[in-house]
Amino acid sequence: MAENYIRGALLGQGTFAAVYKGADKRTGKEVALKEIFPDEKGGAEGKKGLDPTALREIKLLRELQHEHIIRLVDAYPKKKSVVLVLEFMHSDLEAVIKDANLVLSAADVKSYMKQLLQALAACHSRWVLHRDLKPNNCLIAPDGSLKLADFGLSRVYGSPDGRLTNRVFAPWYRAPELFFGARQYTAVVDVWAAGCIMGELLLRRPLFDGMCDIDVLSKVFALCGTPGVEGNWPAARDLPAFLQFTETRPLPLRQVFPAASSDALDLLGRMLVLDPLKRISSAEALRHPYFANNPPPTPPALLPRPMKREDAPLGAGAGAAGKGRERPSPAASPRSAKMPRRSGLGTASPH
Amino acid sequence: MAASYWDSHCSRNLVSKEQLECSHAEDRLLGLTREHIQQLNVYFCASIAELAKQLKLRQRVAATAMIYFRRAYLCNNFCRLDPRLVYVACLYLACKAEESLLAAKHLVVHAKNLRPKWTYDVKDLLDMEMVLLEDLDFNLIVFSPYRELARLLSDAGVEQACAQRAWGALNDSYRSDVNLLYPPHIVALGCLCLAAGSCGVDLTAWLQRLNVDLGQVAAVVAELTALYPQNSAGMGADECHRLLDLVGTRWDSSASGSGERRR
Ligand SMILES: Nc1ncnc2c1ncn2[C@@H]1O[C@H](COP(=O)(O)OP(=O)(O)O)[C@@H](O)[C@H]1O
Ligand SMILES: [Mg+2]
Repeated sequence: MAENYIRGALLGQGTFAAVYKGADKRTGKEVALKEIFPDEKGGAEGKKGLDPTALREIKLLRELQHEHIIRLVDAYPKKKSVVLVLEFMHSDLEAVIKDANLVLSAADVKSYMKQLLQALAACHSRWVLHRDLKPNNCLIAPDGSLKLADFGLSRVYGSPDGRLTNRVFAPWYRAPELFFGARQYTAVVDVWAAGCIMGELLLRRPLFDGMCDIDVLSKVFALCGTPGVEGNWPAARDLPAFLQFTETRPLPLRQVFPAASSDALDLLGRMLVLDPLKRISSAEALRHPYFANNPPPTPPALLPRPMKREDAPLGAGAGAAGKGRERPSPAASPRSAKMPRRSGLGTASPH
Repeated sequence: MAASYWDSHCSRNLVSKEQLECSHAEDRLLGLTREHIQQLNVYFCASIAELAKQLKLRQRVAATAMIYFRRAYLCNNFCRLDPRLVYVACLYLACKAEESLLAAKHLVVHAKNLRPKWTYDVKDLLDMEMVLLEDLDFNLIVFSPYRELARLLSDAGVEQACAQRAWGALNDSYRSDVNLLYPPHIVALGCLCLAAGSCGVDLTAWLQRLNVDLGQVAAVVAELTALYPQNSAGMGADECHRLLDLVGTRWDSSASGSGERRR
């Protein structure tokens, strides 16, 4: 019920919602109020009703209840749209990564990855794909723990009709099979993105930060080798939008991450396997020796704290740690369905 | 897939016989009998199926819409919330939830086509969508027994004729309350047992290998069997309008405050 909440400052703005700080009048507890924009295309009449993206998010959050998945506390209608009442989060992983004042130890990285993979495994065991995994959708709770959020692109898979859109994920975190137009992908698309995030935690900058799809792919292949080389993912050729790049061999991860432990790199290598059939699953990744080996993951309460969101509102443009590189407005590509995402990809042969 | 998960999910969304018993209290005060209410439920679930068929929607979308319809009236009454609008809104919402998007305008055209006396417009439909969302408590995932039945059929290895009957029984099951009362795998199993019984197939040995509550399965079979004698007595549109006129229902978005509709 709307009357139960007070709305405060704007915390952040996404493609289809504005998120405000709020409080529950009955308990005084802090919450976040995610107000879905009423569908603008429908005009004042609201020709389309509730945005399907919002509906997806509500539907799935209502189902998924997990320590590392953001909790949907309540929801209520407001002016032709809906407000999601979420538990309040202090910050997000993007702010952690960008905050030059924070040092991330090997144990800290392990802790974030463990929490993230636990959240993913919970989704995957319930047949839910997240499909928009990236650091700023991994929120940081007041107690320091990581919570997966923003399920607007996620969906239940395994339905008999099978075909899924490949226009998901921000390009930097998009698995190679999606670039090549696969429509029957599986949960390991999320694992690829988790691998990108692990690399980003280690490097403190995005792993595959290309300017466009081709640029991202060329960075992926520069690290992982081109498909076909040494029997690496031969089936890629059969995908509808396959592109032949100049053949390169995979780079040893050690060369890119000189400071990382070998068990960390072994896991990273398994998450960033080009061939989706050979990529590790989220559940297997959690059983990787990396998580059992020393150092143990940092308890969430002891993880470094980025600046609070209220002190550095992300919606206002400046990131928590000053200006990082401009990120290409990532959610824009999968969500504005009007724009053909791979314009140019088919014509400009990168070969 | 963890069976325990489905179980916990399903039981969260199931309702008890008692809950069903005390629904539609106001409608009953206004003169509808339990039989009338049951017939109206059947009529509107059939309307959902017809409309879905006209729109070439998957069976599963229709099944979800029917469950929404039934759940919506656990806390509402026909006299307060016009089922002639609600059933279309249920289908609209189910399309979104099952990823088969459909334009509201398009749906309205088809609803009018199906029932020429249908007087609502797009705005009414979208207003009702919001009302439904709230009344369903934003609980939108419905696991229907269709996938479950396919799995059971291939596991039990019954012949084609028997399988055909089982699918028929499952389609009919939406005219009863079983999909509100029991989890999908129990309903699917009940349909299979019913079909096996009428085809003279003995499933005893196979059933014993399954780890399920056979008491519940028997209860499903009983409910489904009870459907058949009254089979032919489907209600027509005119009788439906007459009953609804009796309780004087009419949805008017401007007049109804959201609190008022509820019991
Ligand atoms: N629970 C929350 N607590 C605090 N801030 C939040 C919360 N949820 C979202 N935000 C902020 O709002 C922004 C947009 O939210 P998000 O769910 O990612 O929406 P979108 O789908 O539009 O990207 C986030 O990047 C974050 O800054
Ligand atoms: Mg986001």
